[in-house]
Amino acid sequence: MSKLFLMFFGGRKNPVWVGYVFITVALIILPFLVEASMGRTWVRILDFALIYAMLALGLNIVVGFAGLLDLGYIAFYAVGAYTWALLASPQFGLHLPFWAIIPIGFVVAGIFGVLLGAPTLRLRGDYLAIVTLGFGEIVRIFLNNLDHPINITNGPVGINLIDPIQIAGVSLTKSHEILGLEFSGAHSYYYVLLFLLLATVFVCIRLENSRLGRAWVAIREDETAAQAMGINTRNVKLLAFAMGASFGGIAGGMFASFQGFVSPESFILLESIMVLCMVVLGGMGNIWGVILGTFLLAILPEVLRDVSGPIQENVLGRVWLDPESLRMVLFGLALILVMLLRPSGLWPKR
Amino acid sequence: MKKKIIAEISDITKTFGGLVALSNIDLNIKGGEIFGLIGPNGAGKTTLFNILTGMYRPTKGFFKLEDVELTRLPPHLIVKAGLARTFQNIRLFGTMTGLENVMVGCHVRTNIGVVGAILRHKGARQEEERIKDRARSLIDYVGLNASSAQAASTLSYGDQRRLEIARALATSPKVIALDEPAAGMNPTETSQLRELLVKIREDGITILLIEHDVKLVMGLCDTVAVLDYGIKIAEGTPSEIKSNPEVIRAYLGGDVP
Ligand SMILES: Nc1ncnc2c1ncn2[C@@H]1O[C@H](COP(=O)(O)OP(=O)(O)OP(=O)(O)O)[C@@H](O)[C@H]1O
Ligand SMILES: [Mg+2]
Repeated sequence: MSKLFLMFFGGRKNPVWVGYVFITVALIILPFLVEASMGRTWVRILDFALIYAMLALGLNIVVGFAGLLDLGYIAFYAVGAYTWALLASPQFGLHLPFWAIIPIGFVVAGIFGVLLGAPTLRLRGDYLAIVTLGFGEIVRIFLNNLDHPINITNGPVGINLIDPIQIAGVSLTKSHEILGLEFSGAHSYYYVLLFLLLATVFVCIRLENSRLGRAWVAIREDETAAQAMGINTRNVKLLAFAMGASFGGIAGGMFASFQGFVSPESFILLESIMVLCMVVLGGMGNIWGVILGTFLLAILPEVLRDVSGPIQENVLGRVWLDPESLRMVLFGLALILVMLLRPSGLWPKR
Repeated sequence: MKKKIIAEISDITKTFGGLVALSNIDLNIKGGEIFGLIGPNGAGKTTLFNILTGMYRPTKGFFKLEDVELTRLPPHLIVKAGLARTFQNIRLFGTMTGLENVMVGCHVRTNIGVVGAILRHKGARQEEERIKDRARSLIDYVGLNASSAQAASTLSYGDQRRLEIARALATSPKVIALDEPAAGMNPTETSQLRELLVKIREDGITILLIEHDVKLVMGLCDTVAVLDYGIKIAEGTPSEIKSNPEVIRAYLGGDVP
């Protein structure tokens, strides 16, 4: 066993690709392992974790790389989700294919990123946080009220019957049997989301190790010094807003098509804070840390929900604390502990 | 005078509310010289740097570099035009390594954008190589080889000052403005700094130097100007400055060594 382990991870003689093959196979069979051991709901939870990871990586560009504390980031998720919802649902009778909507969502969210970023360029720190928080709320309030005078968003009711991704006329939300294995909608989406997440990671890594990535970090470290080094901080910051928003937009689109339904309720301030927690908990600025933080915050609360009831029944005789509120208490406690013990996150940059 | 004027500062005035930090400053800096700017605390030296580099707007006056007016341009365009600076209170990018700090300095002379960064096509890779090579050679130039892989914030004080100079040089300036580069340095570091400044001048870069270490200034500078309460009270060669009664009075009646 230890020999096998060494072969994969430790052996210096083995080429790196052995590790990659191992990871690839693991990622491919993961949803089946999860379904077999924990049931299909968990494949859905896994899918949502992937969506959140994309979202968190986008926010990481803004907060982690460029150091711009954005508390309204969920607005771009909302823009992406509604872009998809409006372009592929009975709302306007439009049914664009996914390969058209993904780039449209990317661009529309990016434009929103620039529009909402531009007025905040002179603000730093707390002031930036407050203004972006306001912008995030404004977007949600618009979505909530754009059902009159002309009905665009359907208001608080939201938009239903959103098209799922269809490949060659086959809907990904239906179950399919391939090679004797049953692929539910959650399984099929897993692969699409995994692909998009890997693409996001790829782009983030490339950006981080580039002239622009360095400019972002320079602005985060000292904006005045960055200007004095000839960085056009206005443009470079806008670019961070745009790139971050674009990834948020793609994540939002996937969320809409996966759920088949969107409403303004999904884009409240608490969601912005949740995504920020994922970034901060994992380790701002470190791509792998952010992914770790996302999976912890997306999955652990669900685990807790599953186990806290039965444990209380077994140990205490009955359920004293409602699992839902216990979940939030423990969640808060965990965050406080992490911030006390590892202030730069679980997996910091350096 | 054989040397050509590279930077012309004319009638620069700056007020902060009621405080006149600079009044009607005229300075002509010649290409290839080390121009010293001295004066007691609060004389307005750093304020002048902040105006030249676009951080503050002057109340009055103008500033030209090689006959191009740069007054009121944003800082990044001034750097592009060829004026770089260091800071009195060191402002490095703390979590970045020494090498990365210098690479940031190359930003203004390079231009790969988002697409190039993501696709990493041949041009982008070549540019990135050029940036690395230039940064390494500048690290070498200021003598920081041993510690260039460390986070900038962990470097010694003297090393941080030299790293700031390397970072400013990476912008390929015509004029480099150094705000008290010897502050906090021990005698060995100061003499290394002196050698470095001579080398920079030999390489054709004009130096504008604020410094309290009078010995260093007098030994190094070709021209020295003295500010006191925002007014230029003297300008000339080091020996002229040393014997100027106004200057001696400004330094609290003390002797200028
Ligand atoms: N942003 C500002 N707002 C208000 N007053 C300022 C500002 N910057 C500088 N001053 C004032 O302008 C005057 C000149 O300051 P400056 O920093 O230029 O002096 P200095 O010659 O660099 O002194 P030192 O040798 O101590 O660095 C001081 O009285 C200072 O308090
Ligand atoms: Mg000063």
